[in-house]
Amino acid sequence: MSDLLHQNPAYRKLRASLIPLVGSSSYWLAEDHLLVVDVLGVLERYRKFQLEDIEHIVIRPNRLRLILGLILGILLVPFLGMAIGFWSAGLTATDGGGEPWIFAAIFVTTIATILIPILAFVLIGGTMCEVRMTTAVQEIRLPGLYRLPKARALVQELQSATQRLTPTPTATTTTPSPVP
Amino acid sequence: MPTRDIRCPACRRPLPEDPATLNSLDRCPACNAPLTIATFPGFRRVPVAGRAAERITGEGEAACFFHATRKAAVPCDDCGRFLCALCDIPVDGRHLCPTCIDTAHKTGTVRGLERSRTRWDAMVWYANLGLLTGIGIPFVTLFNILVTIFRWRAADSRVANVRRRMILGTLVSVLACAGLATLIVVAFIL
Repeated sequence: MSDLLHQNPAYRKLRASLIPLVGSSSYWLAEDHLLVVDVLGVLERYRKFQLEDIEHIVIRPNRLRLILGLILGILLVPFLGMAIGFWSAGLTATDGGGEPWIFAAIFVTTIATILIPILAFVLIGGTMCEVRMTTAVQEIRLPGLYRLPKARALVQELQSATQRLTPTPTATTTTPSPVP
Repeated sequence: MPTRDIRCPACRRPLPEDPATLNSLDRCPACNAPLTIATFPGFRRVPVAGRAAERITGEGEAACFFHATRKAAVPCDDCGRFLCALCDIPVDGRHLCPTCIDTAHKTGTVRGLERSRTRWDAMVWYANLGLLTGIGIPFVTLFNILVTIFRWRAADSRVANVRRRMILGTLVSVLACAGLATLIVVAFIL
């Protein structure tokens, strides 16, 4: 029996993120609760939060993007340098002596080609952050929310869903009494 | 309004308690760390104390199975034990005792208590990484076929079509195995 959330009209998918080979996280909003599905390895975990129980969410930007960008950049520069050097050595060599250089160039170019999209992904997605949600009885770190714009969008959607759930008292308009 | 102890995640110093001030913060007033706080209606809610189990006042009153001095309020819908207000745990419209909750959690019989599932499709795809070793291809294929056959009924997820992924993963390993067998045969013939 399948009970897939995306086939269930009671749930609306808010956000999903995927880390290849590690797992994924997704946020599903129902009328009165939020369901967080966190897949880590071979385990799929569910956490359900009643919207009325959520007290506050703290988004804290961190320097992970800078650190990851620096690490990947430091790794990438020597590989790019080696690739340029090996290709030029391989292509300018005479009497068939360039073959080992060409093989070395293909190897380092492959590694650089893998690193470049990872670096681009780290740099383009926006500032990285950590999101913590507090309910009446617990404080948890929300999984899969690593980017500030996405975290803010999710919080806004949660706030509007909670507002719909908790009707705010409408301002009563007083009609002036008829003048006798 | 109830007092909330909100602390800066960076310096752990307390932040202002007023929701309007909190929502307008973009940095911790103490350590200047950047942060955004969003408060929800639950922030203003006054905590309600849990129900207290009534004491037995006279002879002949039914007692809770777990608390002999407390008055029974409801029977457990699973085992029938009498429960006081403290031991009564409402789940999916039923009243259950802590023991039955524990059992249900282990056996997975109460849907509302389900907290996790094993992703057998992920198991198959992780095993497929072993295909890269070359020599491990037959073992990976055998493992995947066995998992697909014996875990077919158990395989389920709330976010992915597990069975389709399992079949696809197993097919990949079977194809790799067939490719390896073909290579060996061709090498033998040549």
